[in-house]
Amino acid sequence: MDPTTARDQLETIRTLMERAAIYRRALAPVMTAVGLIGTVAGLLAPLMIRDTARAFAFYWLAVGLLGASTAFVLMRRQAFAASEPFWTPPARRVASALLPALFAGTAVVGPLVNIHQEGAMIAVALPPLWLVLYGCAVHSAGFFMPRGIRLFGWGFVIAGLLSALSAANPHQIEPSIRMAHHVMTATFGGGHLAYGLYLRWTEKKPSA
Amino acid sequence: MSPEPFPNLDRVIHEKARLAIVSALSATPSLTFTDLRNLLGMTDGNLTSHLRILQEAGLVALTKSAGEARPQTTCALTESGRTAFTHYLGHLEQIVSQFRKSSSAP
Repeated sequence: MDPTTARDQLETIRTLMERAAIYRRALAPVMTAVGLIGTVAGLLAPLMIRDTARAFAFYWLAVGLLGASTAFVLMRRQAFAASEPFWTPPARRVASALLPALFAGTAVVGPLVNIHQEGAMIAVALPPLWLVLYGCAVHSAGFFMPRGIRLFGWGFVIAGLLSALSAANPHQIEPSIRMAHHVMTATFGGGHLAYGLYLRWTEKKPSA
Repeated sequence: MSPEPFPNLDRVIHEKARLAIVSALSATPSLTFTDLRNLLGMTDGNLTSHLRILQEAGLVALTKSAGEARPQTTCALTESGRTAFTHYLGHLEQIVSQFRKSSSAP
């Protein structure tokens, strides 16, 4: 074998190994925990915060941060229990796939809420936007994870579009912040919880 | 450079499609048949025939699961498969490094 072919072979092998190395931490406990957080937060929201767009937006951003932190801790614990490094190349790829859309979903809140701090319309507009962006983030990350997660991402994108269509429907009842909480609870809470429970039944034992 | 100085290059692994299969499996504990097929862009028949050769050589283990809704074939490298792949990589690196040495020599 000539050296050029050998070098090309090594390059091809490296590329294939990178593409094959997918993130395999068990998602069932993560999804269930995030779903529980979302559901409980949704149930508590009307009792805990004022009916303003600003309160709505920052409340759910805080819930999102809590969910993300919980997911991080659970995955870190899995890696620790398996005596494996947490920040592996697949983990880095998943994080970098998630980041742009999640960043956009967070960054858009300030300008939108400043437009009209008290208005229900902004609060009603945020869930579809967040759902679509979150769905895109999950779908992107799905290229480095087991296949089912991409469908889960599509589910959020479709839920976001449906909720946007529903909010834009002129025959719809008056948009309210309470309704926006319901959308958040059903999708981010219920969606994760349902997927977590589904994975609990179907997910194989994690490996590497 | 002729292949003679490296007679130990594993001929089973050396074939392009099988090398791709072994490379993909080396990066992960196991992959389903479908994931492997999608990753490598191979047809079912082609992948099956190469997997059979690798399995007969003792380099790959295939497990069929029957308990789920759809039966699924999982592919994984065996211990000897990992060892053979590591040796194969060693040989490739040796070829490249020998060339570097000879080209940098005065």
